[in-house]
Amino acid sequence: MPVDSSGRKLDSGVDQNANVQLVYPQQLKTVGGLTSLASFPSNIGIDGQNKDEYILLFIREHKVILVINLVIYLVVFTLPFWIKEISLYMDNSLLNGFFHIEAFFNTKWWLILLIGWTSYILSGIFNIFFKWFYNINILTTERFIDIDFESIFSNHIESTPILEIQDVKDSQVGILQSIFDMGNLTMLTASGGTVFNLSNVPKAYKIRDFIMDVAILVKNLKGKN
Amino acid sequence: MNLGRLEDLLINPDQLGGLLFSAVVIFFFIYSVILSLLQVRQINILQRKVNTPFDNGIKILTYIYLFVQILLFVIVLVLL
Repeated sequence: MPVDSSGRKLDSGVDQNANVQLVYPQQLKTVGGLTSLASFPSNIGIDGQNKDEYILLFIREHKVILVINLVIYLVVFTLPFWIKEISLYMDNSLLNGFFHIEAFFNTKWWLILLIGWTSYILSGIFNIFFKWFYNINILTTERFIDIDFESIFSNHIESTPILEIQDVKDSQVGILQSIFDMGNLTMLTASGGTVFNLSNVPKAYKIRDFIMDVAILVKNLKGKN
Repeated sequence: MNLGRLEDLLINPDQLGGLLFSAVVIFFFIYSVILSLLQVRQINILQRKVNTPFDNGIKILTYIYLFVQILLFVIVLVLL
């Protein structure tokens, strides 16, 4: 939450005429590696960060999204074992005479298939984790940065000056978002060219409020200077 | 190819069938190891762009991941 010159935290709805300035708090927070939302983190940095540029907010998708994806992958991982168990007990008269599936399970090809499957699932889990880990949004005292790790061949980084932030909308859709207090944020810029979409972020309403407070403060400061 | 022929190839493969399957498996695993290397490279690039609190952990994780992928490839080569 932005603070005024005396270090007092400012609530939502900042008075645009108030004599306030953006002061970075002395006590910064050391955040954990897997945090989804952190304000004033001390141990996060970005490439090209200016000397007087501070990180105000660090945002990632809610951890529950990562957990759900990992559970799906782990369930999918057990698929060959289920197929083996089911095929051994089911009436496989359809295959009888043509293909003896029990015999296949005793060959080295079955083992190789399992190792290949493990490799594939491992790669998927790795990808899911890093897609979550490097899907980061950072609000600094100067700009808003959106980092997207899309696949092994592509990543996107977009940034916009805080002064350009025009409108921030938040929405909470679905059971999961209601249970875990997540939401989606849409951020529009003054030029209209860039739209930032943040999905499943924790406490989306608080983030919207924070970003708008900072945007108003920075606009006030620039206006005074 | 009917299922009987497939069974022959999988359970009692002749020399050509065995070679064919081995080639497919080796191709898959080489592809998988190359993809892992690319994933690790992409993460190294991202680590330069943003510093997160878990950077050292991520580095160790990527090395473990690469090691496991290569280990799986070696196991398959031994099995073949």
